[in-house]
Amino acid sequence: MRDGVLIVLPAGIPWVLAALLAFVDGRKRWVGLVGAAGLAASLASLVWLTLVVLREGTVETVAGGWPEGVGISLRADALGVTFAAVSVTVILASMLYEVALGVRWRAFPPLVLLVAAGLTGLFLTGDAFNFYVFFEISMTASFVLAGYREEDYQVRAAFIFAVVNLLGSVVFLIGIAALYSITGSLDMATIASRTDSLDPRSVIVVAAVIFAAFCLKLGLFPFHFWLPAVYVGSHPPVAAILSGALANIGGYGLLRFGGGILPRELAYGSAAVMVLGTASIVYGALQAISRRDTSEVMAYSAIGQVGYILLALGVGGPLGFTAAVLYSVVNSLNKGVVFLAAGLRGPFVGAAFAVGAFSIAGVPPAAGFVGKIAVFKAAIAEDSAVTVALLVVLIFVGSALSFLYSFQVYQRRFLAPREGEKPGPLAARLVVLSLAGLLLALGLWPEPLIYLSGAAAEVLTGAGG
Amino acid sequence: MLLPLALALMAAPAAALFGVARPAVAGPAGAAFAALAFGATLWGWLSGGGAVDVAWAPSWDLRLHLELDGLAALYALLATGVGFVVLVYSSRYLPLHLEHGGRPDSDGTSFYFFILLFMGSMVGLAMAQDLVLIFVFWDLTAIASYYLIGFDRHDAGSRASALMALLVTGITAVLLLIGALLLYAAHGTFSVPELAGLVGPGPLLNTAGGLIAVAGLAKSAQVPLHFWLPRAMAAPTPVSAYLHSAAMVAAGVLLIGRVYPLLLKSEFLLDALLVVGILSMAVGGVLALTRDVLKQLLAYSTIAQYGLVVTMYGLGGPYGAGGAAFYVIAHAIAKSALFLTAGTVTEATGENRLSRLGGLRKPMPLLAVASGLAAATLTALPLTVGFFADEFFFAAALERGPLFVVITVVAAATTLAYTWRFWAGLFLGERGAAPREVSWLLVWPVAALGAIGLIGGFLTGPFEGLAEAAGRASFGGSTPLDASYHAEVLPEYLMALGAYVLGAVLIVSRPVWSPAALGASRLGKAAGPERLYRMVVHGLNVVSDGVHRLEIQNLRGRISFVLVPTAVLVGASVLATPIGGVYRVGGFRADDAPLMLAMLAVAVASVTTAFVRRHVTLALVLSGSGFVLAVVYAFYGAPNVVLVAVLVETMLTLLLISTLRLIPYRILHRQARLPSPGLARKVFVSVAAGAFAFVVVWGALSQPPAGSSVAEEHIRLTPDAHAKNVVTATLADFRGLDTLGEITVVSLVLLGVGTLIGTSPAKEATGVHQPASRGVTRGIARLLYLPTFVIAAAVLVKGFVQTGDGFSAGVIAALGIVLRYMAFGHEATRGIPAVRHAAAVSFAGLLVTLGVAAAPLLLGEPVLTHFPRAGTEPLHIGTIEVMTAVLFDFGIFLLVFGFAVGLVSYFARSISQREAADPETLPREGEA
Amino acid sequence: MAVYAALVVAVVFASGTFLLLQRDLTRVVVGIILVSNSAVLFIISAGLTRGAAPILPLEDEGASDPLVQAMALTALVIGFGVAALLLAMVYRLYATHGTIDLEEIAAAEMREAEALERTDDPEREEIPVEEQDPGDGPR
Repeated sequence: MRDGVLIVLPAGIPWVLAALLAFVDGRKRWVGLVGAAGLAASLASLVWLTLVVLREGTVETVAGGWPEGVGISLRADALGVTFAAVSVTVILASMLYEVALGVRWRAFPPLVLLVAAGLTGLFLTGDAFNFYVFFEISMTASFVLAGYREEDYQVRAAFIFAVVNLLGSVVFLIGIAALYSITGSLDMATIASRTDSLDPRSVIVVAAVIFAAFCLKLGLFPFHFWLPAVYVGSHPPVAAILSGALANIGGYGLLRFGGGILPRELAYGSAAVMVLGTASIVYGALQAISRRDTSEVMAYSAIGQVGYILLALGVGGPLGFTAAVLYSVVNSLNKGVVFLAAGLRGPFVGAAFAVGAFSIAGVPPAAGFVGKIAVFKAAIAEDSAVTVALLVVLIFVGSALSFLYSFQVYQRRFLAPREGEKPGPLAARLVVLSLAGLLLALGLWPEPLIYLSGAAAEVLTGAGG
Repeated sequence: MLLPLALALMAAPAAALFGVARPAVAGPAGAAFAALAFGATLWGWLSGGGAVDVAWAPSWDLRLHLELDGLAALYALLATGVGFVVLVYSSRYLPLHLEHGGRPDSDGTSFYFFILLFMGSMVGLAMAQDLVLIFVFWDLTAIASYYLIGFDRHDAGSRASALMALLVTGITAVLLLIGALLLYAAHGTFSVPELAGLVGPGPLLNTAGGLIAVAGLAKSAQVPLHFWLPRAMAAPTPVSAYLHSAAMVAAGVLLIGRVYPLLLKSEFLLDALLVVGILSMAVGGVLALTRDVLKQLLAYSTIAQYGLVVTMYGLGGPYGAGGAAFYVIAHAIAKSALFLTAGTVTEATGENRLSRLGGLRKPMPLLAVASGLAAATLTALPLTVGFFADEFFFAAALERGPLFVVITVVAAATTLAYTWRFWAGLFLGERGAAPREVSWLLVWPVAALGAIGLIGGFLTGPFEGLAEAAGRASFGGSTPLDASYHAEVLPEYLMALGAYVLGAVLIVSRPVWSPAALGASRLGKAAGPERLYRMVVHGLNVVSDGVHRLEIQNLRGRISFVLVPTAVLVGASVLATPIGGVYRVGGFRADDAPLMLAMLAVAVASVTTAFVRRHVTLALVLSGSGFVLAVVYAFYGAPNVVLVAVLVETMLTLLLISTLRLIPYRILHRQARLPSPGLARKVFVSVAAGAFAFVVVWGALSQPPAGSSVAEEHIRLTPDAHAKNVVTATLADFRGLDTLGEITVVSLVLLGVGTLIGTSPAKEATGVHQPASRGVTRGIARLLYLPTFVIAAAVLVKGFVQTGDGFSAGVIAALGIVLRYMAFGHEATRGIPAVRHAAAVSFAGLLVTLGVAAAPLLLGEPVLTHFPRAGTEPLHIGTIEVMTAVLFDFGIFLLVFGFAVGLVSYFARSISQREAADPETLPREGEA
Repeated sequence: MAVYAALVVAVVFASGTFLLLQRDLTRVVVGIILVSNSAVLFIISAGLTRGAAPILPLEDEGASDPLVQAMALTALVIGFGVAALLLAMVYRLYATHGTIDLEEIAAAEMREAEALERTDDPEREEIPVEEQDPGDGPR
């Protein structure tokens, strides 16, 4: 029974808390702090859940106590808890940051909590349609959040964000309905086992639209055109939530649906996946180089960085999936750090951004290098020597470009002394610094990260054959 | 065993802490740590070295494998020893440097932090035996050097130099990583000693070893990746001294020495080292002969001298590996002394060019002698430790043949020539700029280094022992070095003599070759690798600007780039898989005709929206299509969906009309008449979108399901949920979690709309003429007010048996309020409690449902378990069954009611504000 | 029937996307609504059985697939919610930009982007300037 409670807590705590905090004025500091405490509790329960999952295997419960498949299964495995934990971490940091800066909206805390509830829910559900519903919770909350602070460009960005992503959601919904239509089930595990017996020709088309929908969420070239406007326009903590937490839907979705549910179709399309990843890496990095604004550089960087996840996904297998998970985690934290740092001035901020920049460039001891090792390992594991060479060169070139854009903007924005800038609130700076500290810690002792990613990959390779 | 490393790594944070407390203490504290670390290293080495090997990341076989072998001891002693001297020097130099820059003393703390981090990572790098661990320390030195080179952060040139150093050494470091991973993939270990036993010659070794060597060569500033080093002189002088002698650049040859057991298995790699080393000697030597700026001269000399070390590794044999180690020691001592000399001279005179300096031997005698000793060491004059360094170089060359003999002699002669230029230019000749008094702290460190160079000329034992041990670690076998003077005439002595003579000739014949050397220098500037670097960086920025112009920045493009790539993906997957047999037309039944007709109407209405100009018509067409859809749902046997669809369509039409009313008519009117270019493109995109939707949907509908639908289970289990309507049971019970999520989205929307348009501080419009509605409307509104609630209640309660649910009930109840709005206007309606507290009602509803969902957890049941459980008859109060599922539905009702009322009130309030502010908004009769 | 339903869904979807490509904000929202409608229509038609309303007791002819109905309801309500949110955004956009024309709004975006490019010094300091040292002075 412990499991039944434990699996509900990560999403349940922020969910209930959001409903409660909707009654009060979120601009009051204590409200924000209570919200942050709720997120921290959710994170704590996730850590506990992770330990249970690693020790005892997948934790499962069926809502309503119905037989599996009839009721909605909640299923926590290493893949889900990993993504949930990193997402909630970034959201927690963003929440604390904004509380330190001073919340401007009554509804800010509940909105952020609902993003967290939606995300953890979708990472922990074992039901395809339920995934869509949780996905809509976090998306809808994010649509509103994108307009936070209500500057002209923010409302505009929110509208663009909402319209483009709603279109993506509909495409995804069509995919889910199609999956039901061809398998007669909504339970992910059942779908996975039933698609195996189907003619791959009828599944691959469905896989293609689901793939497209997740690429859109991830902000992958050429589905990314909505992304720069939204990430640049959003208030820094919101940008951090969008790029560091919400974008994980894409990475997780690709892994869960591609690696777990439709592995045969993923293998079939691996070339296309890798081509898209390549395009994204090159395009994002090239765009990022000469952008002036820090957030803009990092927005394009985000497009480039997710390319590596696709590359790893295309390689597949234990090494590829491990790399994809690991890179997603590191990328989330990187983006959290750099977007939060981009909005501040004063001591520690430059240091935190530098840690993020080093991490993006894959320079130890920031954790980014672990991700880079993972993708290199995956690339080297490919069969043909030509593919290995191509992939390695590509990753190398991508990382060389990331050096250039990260440090060009770092020097311009942080290293060069600027006169007359008022430092931001100390608490906010400490939040950014702590997140950067986490990046360093994960780089200095990468084993937990590697182990967890490996376990997550095992979920997929074990389930998908 | 870990003591040296621990001390070295602790030094940086410790100094930073001291520095934060009192800036002046940071330097001395750092120096003390350096001295301690030096002592610990020496002690550790003398007591037999030692090793630590613990798991770091076992999943990937990463190990914290550190060993204080000969090579490690050598470089660790250099890093801490030279580090100590440099820190002592800095404790005087840095305050002056900061003063010149007009910066506070506290800026010095970061200097000490990074220079000590540099030291710590060098010690770590020296001891690391695991390739990934090496990579970590390797990049740590890059980070430290980045901040030190860019220490004068206000200076753009300084920042540019820092970036250049980081890019060159950081990017090439990735090659080291790739090499390591290639080796790991083949042999399953990152440990250098283990790999040495496993790797055989072949393409893998050539590739992996070559990549690692490139990283090492770039860090050692070897041609063609040498250009960052002269730029790095932007750093404060003590940093340059450290960087050139014992840290950064030394790290490069340290790496080569560390992986030498692998490299020497490949002739190809050794030859490549030779070529690079000789080229670097040539380029560095020639350019050092042409430079006028002191630190630049020294920088090019460093390139040449490390070229010499690399050449020695390339020459191979015991003299190669052992001699290279010996040379590194001699060079470190001499080069750091010369850099510090340059710093002191510049500090004393304010000049940094040879052409403006000279004759300093009189005012600065001690410095002249001390740096003379260092120069003698560098040029390998007898009685200095440098003499033996060159002996080994010659000995290694002798083993390889006459060509190499010539090359080494020329190289040694060049060294003599430019070192002489440096020393003689400063201390001999006519008086240049006059010096000020300088602190003893800026002279004595040089004197100490010079003295060590001299002592080493007699007391060769320790140097010899250390270099031999280092050579052993690199070479794998013993590398006996004999650093003693011999009475007979060795060939090496003849070579040395030749080098001195040739050097003297070079010095004397300067006017003869000077134009040629300058020409080479200009050529290098015009077409050298630095030029290439600049072009690449600049070019990438230009390309980036160019690509950015292609970036799509309008919504239409953004949407197209979702649809078209999706269509392409779907198309590709259709093309890649022959579709024959997968798609079926599907049978038509006679009684499908009404359904098909209704669907046709939906399609027609949808298409019509594309042709409608006026906004109101658009809204009407849309709602028309929505209502026909409801009919379609009815034919599909889905009464619940029909009910909700009708209600949703009603609300949506209402909101759409409200929005249109919020926007002045003239804006709408103008908008409707704006041209709409690019029709062909739009049609193309939407046809593509329709096509992929068609393919996916048809494919899904054609495919018979792979198994029996879970819906059959739902029908079977509905009685267990105490319900008759399977859909309602599904919504409230089987898939209650979906419903919970769905209504959460709904309450979120309320939150969002309230935030976006509900909280504007604008005053409430009062006393404004409200659009008059006819008495009939008011009457109907009054009449229907109560009945709507009754109907809502009925829908709610009957849901489990017949068609109905909390959602519909909520909307129906809200419609009563909506009707009041329409009849009496915002003013008269906003006072109703349900309106004032709509949001609260809504969230209370959410809490109720969440409570119902969570309560079972307290009883040890799964989340969302409803009571009473299957098999237990629920309590009846009249026709109402007492069940938690009903309570759940009641929560939904509250939520949706609050939502709908709140939503309408937000829009209504905005309308009333707009009308107060801008009477033009009012639709004129007949126009709208 | 399969091909007919697919065709209708595709036509509704395509009409929606055509509106999404228009320059008028309100049309864009209508486009989203249509696109959502097409998804709901597909969900309903993806039911694995067709028959009477799934209300117990069932008659012999069998009931329509209740699961797709539940899914359709959920999707319908979510679609409605976000459409309402979009309408509020449209009003906000109008209130701040004074227009509901996307071209004009995009023009504002471009102006801001250009201003951003201009405010920061276009000089790219990261590229080292030409070397100042002229080589050796004649001595």
